[in-house]
Amino acid sequence: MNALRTHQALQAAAERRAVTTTTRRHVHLSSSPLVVVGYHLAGDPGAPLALVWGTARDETPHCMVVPEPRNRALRFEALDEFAIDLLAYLSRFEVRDDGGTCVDAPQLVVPNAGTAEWLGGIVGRFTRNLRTDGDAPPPASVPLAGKHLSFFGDLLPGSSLMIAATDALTLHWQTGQLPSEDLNLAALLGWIDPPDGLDGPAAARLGEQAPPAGPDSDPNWDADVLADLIRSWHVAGDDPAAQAAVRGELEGEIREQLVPAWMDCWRALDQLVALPAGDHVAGRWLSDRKVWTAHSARMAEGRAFFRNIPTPVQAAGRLRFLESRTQNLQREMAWDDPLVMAALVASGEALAGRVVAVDADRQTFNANGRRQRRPMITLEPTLDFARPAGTNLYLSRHPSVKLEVLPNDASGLIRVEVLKGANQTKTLGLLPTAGDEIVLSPYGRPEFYQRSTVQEIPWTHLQLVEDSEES
Amino acid sequence: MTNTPVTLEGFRGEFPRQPLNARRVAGALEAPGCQRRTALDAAGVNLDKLGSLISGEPRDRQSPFALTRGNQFEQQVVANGMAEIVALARRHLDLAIPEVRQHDLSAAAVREAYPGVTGARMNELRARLTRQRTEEMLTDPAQAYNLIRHAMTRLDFGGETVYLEQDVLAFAIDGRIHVVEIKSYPRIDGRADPTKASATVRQTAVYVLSLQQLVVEIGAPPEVVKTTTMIVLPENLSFRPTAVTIDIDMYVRRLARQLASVPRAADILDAIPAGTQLPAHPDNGADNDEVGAAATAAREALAVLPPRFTDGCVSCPLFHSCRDEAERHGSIARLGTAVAGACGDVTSIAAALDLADGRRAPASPSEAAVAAALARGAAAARIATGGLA
Amino acid sequence: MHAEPVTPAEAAAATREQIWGTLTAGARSTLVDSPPGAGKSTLVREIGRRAHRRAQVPIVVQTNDQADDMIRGYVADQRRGAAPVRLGRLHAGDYLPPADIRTQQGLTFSKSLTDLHDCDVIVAPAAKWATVDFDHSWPFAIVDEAYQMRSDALLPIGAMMSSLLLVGDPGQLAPFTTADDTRFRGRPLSPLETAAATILTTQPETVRLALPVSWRLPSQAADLISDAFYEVPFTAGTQPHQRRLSRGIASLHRGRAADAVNTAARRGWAYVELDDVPMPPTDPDAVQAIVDVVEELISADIALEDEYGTRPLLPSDIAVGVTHRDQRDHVRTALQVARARTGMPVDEVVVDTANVLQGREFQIVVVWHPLSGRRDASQFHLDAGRLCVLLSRHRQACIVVSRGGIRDQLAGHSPTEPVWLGESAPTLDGWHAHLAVLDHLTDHAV
Repeated sequence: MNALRTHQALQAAAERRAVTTTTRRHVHLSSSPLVVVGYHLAGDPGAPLALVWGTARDETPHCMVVPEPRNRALRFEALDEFAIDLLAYLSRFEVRDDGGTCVDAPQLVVPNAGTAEWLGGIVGRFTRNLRTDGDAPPPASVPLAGKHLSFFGDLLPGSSLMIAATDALTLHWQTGQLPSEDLNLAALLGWIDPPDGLDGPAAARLGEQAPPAGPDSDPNWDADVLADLIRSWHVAGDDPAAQAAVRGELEGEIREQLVPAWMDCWRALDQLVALPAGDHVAGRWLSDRKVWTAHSARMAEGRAFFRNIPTPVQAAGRLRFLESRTQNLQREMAWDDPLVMAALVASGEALAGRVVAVDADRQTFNANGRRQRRPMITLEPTLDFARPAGTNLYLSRHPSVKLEVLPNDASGLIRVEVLKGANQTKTLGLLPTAGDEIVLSPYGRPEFYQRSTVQEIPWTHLQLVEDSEES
Repeated sequence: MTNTPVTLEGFRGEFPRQPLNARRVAGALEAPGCQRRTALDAAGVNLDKLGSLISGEPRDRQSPFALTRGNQFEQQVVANGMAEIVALARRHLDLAIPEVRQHDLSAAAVREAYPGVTGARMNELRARLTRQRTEEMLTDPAQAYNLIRHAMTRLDFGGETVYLEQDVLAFAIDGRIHVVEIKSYPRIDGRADPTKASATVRQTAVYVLSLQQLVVEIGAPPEVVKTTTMIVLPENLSFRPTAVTIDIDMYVRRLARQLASVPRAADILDAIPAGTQLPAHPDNGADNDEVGAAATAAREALAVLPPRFTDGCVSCPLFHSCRDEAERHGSIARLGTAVAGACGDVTSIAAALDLADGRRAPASPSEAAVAAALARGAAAARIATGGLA
Repeated sequence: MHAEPVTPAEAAAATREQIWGTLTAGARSTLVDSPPGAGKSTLVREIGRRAHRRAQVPIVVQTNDQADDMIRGYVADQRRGAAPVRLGRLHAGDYLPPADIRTQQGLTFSKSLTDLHDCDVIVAPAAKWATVDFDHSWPFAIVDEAYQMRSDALLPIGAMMSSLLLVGDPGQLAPFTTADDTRFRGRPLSPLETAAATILTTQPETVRLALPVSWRLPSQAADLISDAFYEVPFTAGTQPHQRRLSRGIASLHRGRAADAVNTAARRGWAYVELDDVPMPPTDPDAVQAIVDVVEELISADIALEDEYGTRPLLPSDIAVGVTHRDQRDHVRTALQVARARTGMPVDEVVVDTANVLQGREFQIVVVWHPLSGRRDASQFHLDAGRLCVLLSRHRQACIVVSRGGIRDQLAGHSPTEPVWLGESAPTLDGWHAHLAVLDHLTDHAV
């Protein structure tokens, strides 16, 4: 754990309140997100019990319940309600700009990563391919919604199309509790935004008393309330009035369990919106819009296919993409946010200091004996900098400028030379000037390598699978 | 509290007992170095009841729906003379199983054959029968039972003999014993929850090790019990079983080494001051005062046993009370393993911040190193936010 | 394998012939496990030399340094009289050939395959092979460091090469990703597996052989490393008397650093245990203890004796192996300060993390124990590969520096790491390996 984060955790504990770890917001927030919370039956993620959703915090959220979650027809009937609303919400984001990109994209907000995983990986995964022409088919909306949920469940770091509130909050705040306790949204909000008269730990305790935010329900509630209601449903038989009564009662109970978590999602958004957005947030949202545009085009053309098990070629491509997006997010957050960069300064990977001198005309000889321009910057470090000579760094203000640390001369000053990005007449202007406070970071502009693509799975990755019970 | 505990039984006093099973043995080893947990495990204290009592909150029961689903799945895979299990074992363990001759050693089945046997004698009887059946399996594989359910084996835990009711199935083919574990969490598109799988593997290792010790007692080499085990799980969201094999040899060897270092009961007793005893658990109808008094007595009894608070504690029934204790003491452990690790031998939050801010002079090399690192972190933040942080 | 006892050299030669036999018999995939310093590179070069008579042989390595070292190996072989081979070094656009081989006869550097069509052997990192046009094809290629190579990097290789010899050290640090890997775990053929594991999964008929002799590790180290880290045992290629360290200058002062050097000279191992105190990762006392040992090593005027002769120990023969980059920086800085104070060239020793030292060889290695001063052992610090790399770089002696309390740390560790069913199960337990190593080190405490 880096020293800055450690100090922040100690501070949070001592002040009994969460500490901000960023000065900027690093997620995009939509003006009309769809906030969704839900439960499935314990031990049976394929059996949704209830969903609560809505796009406006001051309106009563919609609620769907499945009075017998193990009954397929009832499940579809309920999911249809949600699916129709989801499709209507998503259809609001079809307007394209002149370049063909959707002018805005939808944003799903859920309380935690577990809910995101459940909606995409289970609900989406097991409804997207349902056939609507067989026996007892599901409503057409259900597989369509399943494809959309699968899309939202398979996003990359830096995407804001789906926001898990606990993840978004822990990206911006440090609490004084165990990392695993931060997974409880109500407790986490207690640390970040305690109600009047309570400190963080007390508010977190209070949050723990609240019903779980899903997708797992409270086992005691299962035993004491839900079991009886499901029993009543069976007793009600085909009597519509009795059925309606059970549904009504179940919906009341569900609202009591899930609406607090739904409200907490909005509280989380309130906390986040108070922070000014980082400079790169808009760029990441643009790529979200492009991804959404592509998905929505595939949906329109009936080409939105998802593989249950990716091929080695797909998995390799996906991993490479994930790695570059992960790195980009780290880089952009550090460039946008001095407090994020400070963690790198604290750990010694980045160098903060005041420019003492700049020699823009310095020349050296390269390996072939040719003269080359290698401007030199001399800095007085604000904190000791111990990386050895030869370390590559980049100007955090102009990450295209690549530098190399030169051997130190015991003066306490650090000398770095420009390798590229500010050694030609037109780029020399990117050099800092004496007196500037600057940060040299380990993050340069990402470099792109052209690669060929493997089309077919080669013999090295072709596994002979005998007929398996999995097929 | 007048009577001095001379045994762990004495320390437990009238508090409800909960004998160790494989799950609890595996669980006990998840908190090594925690004297509090070790003493309670060794004394066989019912941890759920103790946790509820001292925190004043009921421990979560298991959801009836999860229980039902688990039982349904297990019943289905063992139905029809184990047809599904046999098919999976043929395929995944590569076993030629001509026919299944199964034998049930559950308490219910044994009670039918031996009416009148109860309690500890029942455990011993089942353990003896397990040993006999196993011996037959190995010496006369063609005739003997080749599949045992609900066997009972023994395991040494800190010098105490623990009876393990085996949830697993033990197949004997060609003089080799194969262990099959049935679990009800799903395997979706080939993947199962890695945390649950980790718990399964560690529990199965407990069974395999105790079976290995049994065959050694019988005079056979431990390798007779194969460490490649088959785990049967529901496929995707259905009740259709799917199997995956895993060689848990590494976990069995690790377990053997961990068990060897479980403190002896005598050593644990040494650490418990004379006179320490858990209270009796209040009756169902007890009033608040009674419950409160019992809770206080329990907390006092626990106070003499030093806990070791870490990230893993969330799964312990005593989590809430140990967490409160860590918070009251302003202990850095409260913030988790990573923060505690970064703070060297400084264990108090206030002391660490005082060191960081220079309000306190370091008294040791460790403190000096912590002070330097934290001060650097704080300075970096201050510079970044222009003195605001 | 079943032959009568033979000398290590004969055993190694027999294994090499066996490997060649497998290849000529037409095996599509052959995997050779090589313990530290078992002649892996020599094998790769030899097979390349023998196989090019049929067709050009691509050699796939993992880094530019490894590619350059492979070229240097061929150059050295030829200097020693091996049959000359026309070498091609395929590289990326921004690569600069190192000065020592830039003008080598019979060696062509190019960023394009078209310039290398008449080469017998082409050496390039996997990342470069991934950029060529996949219409190319070769009947046979060699993959070096197959346990450092990720499965996704093998895809383009499989697309172009129809049979492979994969060579690697299974005891090293496994490849990893900086991204969240959960989506890729728990399935066979995950892109995060090693290339070796992938081939074993998809080609069950792969012939798997192991090189039997470590020419690097002294006999005092081979047994421990073999037992603690390797499935297939190996032995040292030398007898205890063939390797020796002798001090030219007796120590001026009695101290632990002097004891450590003397013990290491006598037994090949020394364990310097500092007080049992939890410390942050950059423990200043540990840094000081390491600097003391390095100073003692350099001031002792040590003569190295081995099967090639006797020569003085140079600073560049010594490496300090650490776990974290900030530890590396603190040690380097402290050595620079020590040089300024004493004038001894202590800053010329190599200081680096296990990941970087992987695959390299030194005479003496000073190891900062990965668990030193920690409160809790983590999976990262318990990694068997990391410990194995640190303890298997030396030809003469290894000196381990650590805070006490490691045994308690290991006893207090709760091994509850997630298990991904369906992935090949780990055979090596870092926790167990650490205990085995600690038992051994304790016998060499100073």
